[in-house]
Amino acid sequence: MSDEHDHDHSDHDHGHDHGDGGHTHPPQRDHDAGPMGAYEVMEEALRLLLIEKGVLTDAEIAAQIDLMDSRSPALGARVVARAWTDAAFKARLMSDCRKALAEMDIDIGQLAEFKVVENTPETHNVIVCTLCSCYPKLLLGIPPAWYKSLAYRSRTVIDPRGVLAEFGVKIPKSQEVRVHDSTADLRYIVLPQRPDGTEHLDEASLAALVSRDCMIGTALPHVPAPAPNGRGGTSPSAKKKAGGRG
Amino acid sequence: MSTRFKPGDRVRVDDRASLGHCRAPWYLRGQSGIVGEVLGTFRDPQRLAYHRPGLPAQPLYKVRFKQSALWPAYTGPSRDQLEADISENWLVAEAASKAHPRKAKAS
Repeated sequence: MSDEHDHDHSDHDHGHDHGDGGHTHPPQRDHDAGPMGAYEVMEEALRLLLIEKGVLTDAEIAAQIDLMDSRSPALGARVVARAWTDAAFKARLMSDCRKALAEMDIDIGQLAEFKVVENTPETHNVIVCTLCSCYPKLLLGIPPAWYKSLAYRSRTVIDPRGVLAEFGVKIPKSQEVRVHDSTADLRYIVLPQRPDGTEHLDEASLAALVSRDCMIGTALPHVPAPAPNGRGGTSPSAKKKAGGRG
Repeated sequence: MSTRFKPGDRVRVDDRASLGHCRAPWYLRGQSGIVGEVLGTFRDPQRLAYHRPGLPAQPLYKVRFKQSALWPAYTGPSRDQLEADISENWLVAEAASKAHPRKAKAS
């Protein structure tokens, strides 16, 4: 194969070691891509330079993207369910999050520390990053677009109760609302309250109650309502009621 | 790690101006709060952002503010609070009785 090979890779997988030296690939565009913005141009230029100068390899970049893609709110939900069912684990999670997560084989990397804030009957916690969009990606995956929106970032600190109400979460006046603005090197996760009526559920079933938004603080976990015919929460209506986000 | 403040101390976020990358949000500058927790020591983001080593590392504090003090029009209960993580080099000690600086300016 010469350097003139075409770049439609439909006939092989994406290992890019062609054994033909360091030639440069033209970047592939999305089929519906618009014109590149200034930041996209800058990102691409910087990335290609870092690769060209040997600071990074494209394999390292791909591995990092794979790592990020492997993380989803289901991971955070498992941690919450473990904390609900194991008081000693919860204590470790609250005092040294990194170490407790390592027990579950979850590596949060070196970019930031993680901290868990616990919802109680007295306090409801909600997370925001007003300065940018800091988010515990290595536990919850890629953040939702609204989390990065100017509206969420500014309104959550000014009117948290109003924002929560728009998410369908009404906090009684007897409960404090505590906003955590993650302005520095800590990434916050909310440990929601375990709902009543879940005593019979095992860890996996509990984890299924915990959505992404529960761990941001913009939702509460709900228990599936028992089906009216008494066959247990498997009817479509019960499922619908248990639904929620994520 | 030696720190200037401890949990329970009354502090104020410095009201100085800044250019470029800075992690002390403008809406908290000049505002008084209480140190809730010492979070550890982290390299200074204001220096790190410009390819400096970020030294000296700064103690980081979880500072608690009353929402009703931050926002005069806040309608929620007075118990509602906001917490932010602020570097030591952005905090000044404040005596418990000191008037709110912005209110003082306005009078």
